[in-house]
Amino acid sequence: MKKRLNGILTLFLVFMVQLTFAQERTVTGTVVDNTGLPIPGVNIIIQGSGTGTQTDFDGEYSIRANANNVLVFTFVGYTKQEITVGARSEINVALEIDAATLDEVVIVGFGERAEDKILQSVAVVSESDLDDIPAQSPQDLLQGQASGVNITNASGVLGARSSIRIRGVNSLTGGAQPLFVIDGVPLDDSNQNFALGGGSLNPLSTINPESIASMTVLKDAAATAIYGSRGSNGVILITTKKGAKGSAPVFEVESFLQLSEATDLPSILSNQQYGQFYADVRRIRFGNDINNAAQLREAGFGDFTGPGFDWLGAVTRTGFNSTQNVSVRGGTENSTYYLGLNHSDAEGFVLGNNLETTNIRMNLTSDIFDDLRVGANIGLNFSSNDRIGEENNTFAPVTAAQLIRPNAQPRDEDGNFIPSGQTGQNVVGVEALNTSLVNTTRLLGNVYGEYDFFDQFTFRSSIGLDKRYEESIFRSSEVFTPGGSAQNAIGQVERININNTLNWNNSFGVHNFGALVGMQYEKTNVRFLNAASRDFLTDALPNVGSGAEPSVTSSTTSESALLGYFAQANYDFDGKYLIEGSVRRDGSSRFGANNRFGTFYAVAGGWNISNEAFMEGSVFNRLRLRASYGTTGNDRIGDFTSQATFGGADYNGSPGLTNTGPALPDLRWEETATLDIGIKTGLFNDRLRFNATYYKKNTDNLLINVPVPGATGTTSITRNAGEIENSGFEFDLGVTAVQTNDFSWDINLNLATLQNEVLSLPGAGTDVQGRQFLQGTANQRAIVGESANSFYQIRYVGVNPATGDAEWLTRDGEVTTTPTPDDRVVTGDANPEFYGGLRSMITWKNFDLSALFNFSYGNDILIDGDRFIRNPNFIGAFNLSTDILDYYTAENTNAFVPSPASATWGTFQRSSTLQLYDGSYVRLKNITLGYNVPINSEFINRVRIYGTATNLFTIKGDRLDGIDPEVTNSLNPLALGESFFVAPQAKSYLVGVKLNF
Amino acid sequence: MKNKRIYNVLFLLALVLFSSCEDELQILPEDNVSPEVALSTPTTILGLVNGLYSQAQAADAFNGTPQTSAEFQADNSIFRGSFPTLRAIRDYDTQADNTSINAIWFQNSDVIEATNFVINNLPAVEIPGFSEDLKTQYIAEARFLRALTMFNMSKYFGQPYQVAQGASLSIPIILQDFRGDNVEDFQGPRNTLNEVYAQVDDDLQFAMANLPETHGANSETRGRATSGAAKALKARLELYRDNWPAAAQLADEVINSSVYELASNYDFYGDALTSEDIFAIINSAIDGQGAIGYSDLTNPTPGGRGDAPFSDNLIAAYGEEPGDLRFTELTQVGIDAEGFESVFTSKFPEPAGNSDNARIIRVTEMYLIRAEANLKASSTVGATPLEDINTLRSRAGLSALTTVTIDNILTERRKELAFEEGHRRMDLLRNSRDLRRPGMENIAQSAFGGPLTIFPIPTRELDLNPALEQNPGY
Repeated sequence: MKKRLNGILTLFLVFMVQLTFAQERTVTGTVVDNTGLPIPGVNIIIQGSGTGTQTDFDGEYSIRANANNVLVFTFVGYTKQEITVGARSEINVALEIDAATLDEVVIVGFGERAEDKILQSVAVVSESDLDDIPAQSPQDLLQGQASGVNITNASGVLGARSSIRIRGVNSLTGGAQPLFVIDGVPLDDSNQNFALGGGSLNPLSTINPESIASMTVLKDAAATAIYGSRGSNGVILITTKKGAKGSAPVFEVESFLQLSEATDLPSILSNQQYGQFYADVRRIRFGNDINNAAQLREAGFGDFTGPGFDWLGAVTRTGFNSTQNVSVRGGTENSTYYLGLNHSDAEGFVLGNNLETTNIRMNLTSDIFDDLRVGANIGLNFSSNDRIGEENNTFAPVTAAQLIRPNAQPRDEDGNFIPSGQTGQNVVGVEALNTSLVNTTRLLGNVYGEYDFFDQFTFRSSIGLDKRYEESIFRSSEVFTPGGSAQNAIGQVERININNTLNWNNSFGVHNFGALVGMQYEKTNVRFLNAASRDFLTDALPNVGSGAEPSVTSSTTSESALLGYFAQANYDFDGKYLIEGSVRRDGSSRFGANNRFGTFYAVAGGWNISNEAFMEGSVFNRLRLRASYGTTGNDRIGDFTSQATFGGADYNGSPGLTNTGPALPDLRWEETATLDIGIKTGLFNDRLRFNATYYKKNTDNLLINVPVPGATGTTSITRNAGEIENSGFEFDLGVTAVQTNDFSWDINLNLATLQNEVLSLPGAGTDVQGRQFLQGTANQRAIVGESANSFYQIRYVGVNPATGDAEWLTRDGEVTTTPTPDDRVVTGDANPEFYGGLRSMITWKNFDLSALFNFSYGNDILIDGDRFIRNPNFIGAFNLSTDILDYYTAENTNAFVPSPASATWGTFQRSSTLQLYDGSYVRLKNITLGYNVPINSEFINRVRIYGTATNLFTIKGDRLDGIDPEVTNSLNPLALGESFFVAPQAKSYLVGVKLNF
Repeated sequence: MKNKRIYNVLFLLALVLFSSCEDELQILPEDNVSPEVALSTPTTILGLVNGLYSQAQAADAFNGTPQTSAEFQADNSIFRGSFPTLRAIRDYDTQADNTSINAIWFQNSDVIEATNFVINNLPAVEIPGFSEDLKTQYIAEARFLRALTMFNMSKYFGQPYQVAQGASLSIPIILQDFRGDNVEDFQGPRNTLNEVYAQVDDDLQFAMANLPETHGANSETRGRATSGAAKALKARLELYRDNWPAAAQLADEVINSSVYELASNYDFYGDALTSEDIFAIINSAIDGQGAIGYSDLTNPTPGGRGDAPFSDNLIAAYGEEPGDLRFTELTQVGIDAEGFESVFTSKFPEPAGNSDNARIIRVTEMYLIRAEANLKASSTVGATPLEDINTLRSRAGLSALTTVTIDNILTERRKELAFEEGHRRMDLLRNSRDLRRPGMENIAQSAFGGPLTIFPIPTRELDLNPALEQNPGY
């Protein structure tokens, strides 16, 4: 501060002197960017003076200077240029994009840090990485862009949630998702709607990606300790766009249209194939004298002689999305503003799945006095999600269309929809006649004030609110539910967040100090009202009140509170040697009275080697070593898990009470200790950038649901028991391969490895090998000494070419046709060995081409739906994959399916490695071609037209034909990479135009 | 002015930074109460007892999943539909990790633990206005429900008495309630069937001695435990352990009770609660059986799931004597879960709400018990077997028999009690018969004493309690 003041004084003196002696004249010119477009708001200062100006709207400027003066042109994100005036009176400048300065200031925790003083392990996705990616939801912007962040989109269903794991699974109970903080407000990510078989809605879908300025992923304890309470699974800070002081208004209008389809769908039997296969099975397996569909019909097994109906074709369509964004940003001398509007109307590629969203964002700052600033960031979201059933739901279009027999028809002779009369409902009719909507209104924002005093201190106080009103409306037609049924639920979430911080910064010569103390209070209140009824006179009466018979009348509340005090201090010597420490004490209402508070801390140190004198002239423009160690916590258990409670349970119209679980007063914070060591380099003026990080996270006092014998009347009790470790390396490599005025090519690769091991699980069950484990799903376990996401199954061998029997291995490796659950062994891991992304950006004159790949290697996925559609024993009951036609006969001995005569026919698809696949893939996530139309207009500054394709192609294993490898049907940390009829991802094609004026 | 502002800010700062809001971390739930509150007043204690029946309402406990699964094991119904776990039961290739069976174990254990809480904690409660009589009655209600639940579990998870005269392994007897820190109390070994039956007998004798004959309202007399219900269940217990005189005697006493009367027709199914009912679990639209219970499984689509149509063998059994009202009045034809037209029972007419009552014991069963016990003991307690059987045949619109054999009685039991309580399976097993009839699949595995005629102990429970021994064959 003092230093700057001195500088300003010096400048002032120089200016005074120059004013006296200079021979001034007017210099004018235009400043453009590397594509030739004018840049408004570029600062032009006469070096060594206080005189300066800015370019106007058209990038033009005018300044009085003399021949000896040096004009300094600066603009955020561009390389500084210094030009001596000389004899010229017109100086036109083209500024180069400066990759190094783009992320100059990084938002960390409760403040910002200059990039070269960052000791924390963070991944930053900045505006330039985000700007030209048209996205549906914020996580689309993160996928493949940040090292150590593994995002698996749950499905291609609109508004579906993604599994986001930062450095692996660190927690075995409900919360392995990171904490999202939007402009300082921690986001509530609970679901306040019904489960429709599987899949859940994305809490981020209420955040407009277009209004995001940057995202910072905080990965190590040094970064997250300040969020102590909930930092264990990482924190993702989202900063929304703001205006700039003294900047003329910049209007932006964007519109894009998108078409989408499924990436991959399985191939299922046609009616003819079905009838023939069924006849063959009846003949071979049961000895019936049936050779074809006609004989099958005569024998009473159903009529498969007609053309049938293409159910999978009927429930998929070309999706269509139209999105408009309008924004204006700018500022006056004392204030800034950003106003963004967004409207998106999407029809998914699955019949009946539509999502309409409207977002409004207004961010304002104002300097009331020199030392007092106020601001507000307010986002308002409206969304209407026309939902579909998903996964394990007979009303789910993608599920039912695969299972329903191909001879079923959606309509009768008169054209009316009819129930299918089988498992796998007439989903074409369901989507036409039933209603399933989730309407959400969300207000998310904060207001804050900042006050500077004694020159060195800043006090900041902010109040944030995350208020959500989520209404679910369901109505089943009388065609599919006799008498019809209706349900209406309203969930209201109110989270209030108060932050107060006091910040101090000072420098004594080369000694730079900073410190911060603060407190945070947060309270979350959830109310859920649910009513349902049945027995309606007509479908024309949609509301619950018209039903004669109430079936649900329920109203519940839940509440939790969090209180934290924290402090942070940092010191650096001349920007070369840096240390930093933080401590936070957090209390959560979720824990027992004795253990509400936990203390978390972090220490970090760094050395900017490139700032040392001996590095002068080296190829390194940046070389920094850093290390940190610290702890973070996790309280993501139920609000009242620590309290013994008896809950409502009626009988015969009288109120009753049943035990919902014993008191657990000793429950306390789960703690994760993280060691993080990293190196960050930039060579040849950042033409080559390489970062490497090693991390080791050890989570102790794991909050786990320890299973207990069923005789206790409960399945599990939550305990602090166990220890888990995640370790790995993260690499970022960036190369600016070409950089000329007309042509530039940037390549960024990020890659992270992951090693996950469960160290102990005291109190958990013991398997036949004597190891303790926690069961996540029927096929997945956390096992001591193994990964927390180990697949634990019977090993499938194949169909024996000699006998036609399916064969498995016993635990000892003997071939058997009758395995038992005792034969299960660890067969795979749902966690990848490494994963990451590759982004290439090419600009050539007015064209730009960017491609983003993401990849995952070494993870296994379980396609549990195989037990149905690849199970020949379900012939007659369900439709099946065409793969089952490859069954064993005397002529076809190298078959997929055992002989229909085999005793293993029925057990062939029992849970085993038969349903386990190598889930490795490389996917072209996004490819965008843009063109900046050269325009010479008073009114319009920039016209950009672009086309984007997402999920254009995927390289994956041979066995995955018809299966999208990017799957997960659960966010449960113990149930990774499993699919039970998860709808595939969307492949989409988009064209858009963006105007700036 | 500027200084003043600074001081204001500093004051505010001190206030927010150092004021304590730790009380804010003390949050009590609004939808639940603590155990202390639950045991604090006569009304909350009545709530705890109501809660026991409520837990028994689980489909996997008293409301139809295990009972209908027993029909799939035997010859009344052939499962149709999508659940691999129920298909496995039908096909006799059940594995120990079958999730449906795991749920059956769990939900029944859950009822037992809840009854233990009442039985163990109520005696110490002394509050004004809560009489010793009422306390004893509540404990007796809990003991009746515990007896019924243990008796049911012993049917699913162990061999019947007739296999080894009760010496075979049954379920573990657990009389503790769970407090969070006493997991070891729930890790005991399995007891023999005789030990389980002795415990059930003990509970039933206490219930018979301490329960009223009737409650105030008819629905409570039928839907809560009574001394008559305890006696009727004991009659069933004695029948199951071949104690014919006691079975006949107890059944006769129930028949002669003024509280119960054989219905003159079959209108008592569905929502009704009549003097035909000795004990039923009362379900309603707003407090129903839940999914995959009686109504859901036994009704055709789209109202129900259509999973449990009549087997051809059952249709043929009724067909042997045409005009049986139990077929003509109590069946419906509809589409099953696999899309075919099938015959279903209509004993549970409200599939949309899953609101039909579960008839656990009705007086008709007492006639059948008395007949069978008298026949086997060559006694005539109350009536001759022929008289009892003809009484029921006459109600069904069938002609009177002139002689009666055990086969006649088993046939009457089958036709009378189909799709109720899973009676058929135990009737066959305790008479040392195959579960499946000639012409059906898996006859060999269904033979009396066969290892797969009973469920496995769930793998999950074995993992968590090493003292449990798995049933042979799993």
